[in-house]
Amino acid sequence: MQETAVLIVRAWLEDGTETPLRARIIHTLDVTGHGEILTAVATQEEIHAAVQTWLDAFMADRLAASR
Amino acid sequence: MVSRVARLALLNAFALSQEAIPVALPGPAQRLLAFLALQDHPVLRGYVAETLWLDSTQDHAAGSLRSALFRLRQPHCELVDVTAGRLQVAPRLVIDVHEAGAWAHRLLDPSVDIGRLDMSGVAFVGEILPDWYDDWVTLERERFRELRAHALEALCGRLISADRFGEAMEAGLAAVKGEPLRESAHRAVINVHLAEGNRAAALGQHRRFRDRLDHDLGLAPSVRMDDLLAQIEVR
Repeated sequence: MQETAVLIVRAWLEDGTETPLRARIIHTLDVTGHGEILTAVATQEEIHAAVQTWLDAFMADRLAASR
Repeated sequence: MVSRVARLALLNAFALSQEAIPVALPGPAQRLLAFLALQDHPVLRGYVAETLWLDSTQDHAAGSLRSALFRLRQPHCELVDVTAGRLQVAPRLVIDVHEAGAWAHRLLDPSVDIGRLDMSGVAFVGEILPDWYDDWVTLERERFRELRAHALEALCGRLISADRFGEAMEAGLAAVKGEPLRESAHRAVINVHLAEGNRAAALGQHRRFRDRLDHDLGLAPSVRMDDLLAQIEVR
């Protein structure tokens, strides 16, 4: 698997709270290594931002490598 | 052919053994066996080839599949059944994920007597092939993880009812380890402490969860956790 990055969002809802969303985000920019990074977030905006940041980093890495 | 029992472990890492002796397999054969082990029904050869060798031409993928199947031929032990163009793992292949999944489903069935459940050797922790990133692994890993989280919490509650507090604590802590921000897992552990009369330990568990939730997410525990805390405080 070359040039493959992975991001997994594991989301769930907790009962009994006004902010029920929880998400564990696991991502790596290189599946051939073992450098998974785990973060936790609790809003949709934070999930969107995490995906955007990961995608930006992935594209920057690949574009730099192709130059 | 004399058929011997083989065991396939997919939790934590791929490991195949036959009569307790490790069997080495090349990577493509490992992937094929793991893929078939994670299917719940026989699958077409073409589907297997296209899924496992995504970037190959159809002919090359079919050739790779034939090669991998050849490498899975073991003396005295069938690992894969090939019938009418479909592949599945041989019925005598014992797979740890299947055992753990069946155990979890029995636990979640309220009609099953917990006293009759043999939990020796059951995998409380571990993920399906954690360093494999194929889609077919990732989805199964997440599905299994969710099933086990529910099963561990159910196990914890049922063991409390049976006054088996040590095992209940083990199950509860395994659930917490699986996802430290999962509130129901922490409630399960607190319930074990309360059932044993360990109020201070219950309060300590609550405090650790509250602090972790605040540190990681800037949030407070839910009303359900507050209700549990109120029960602790009135005791």
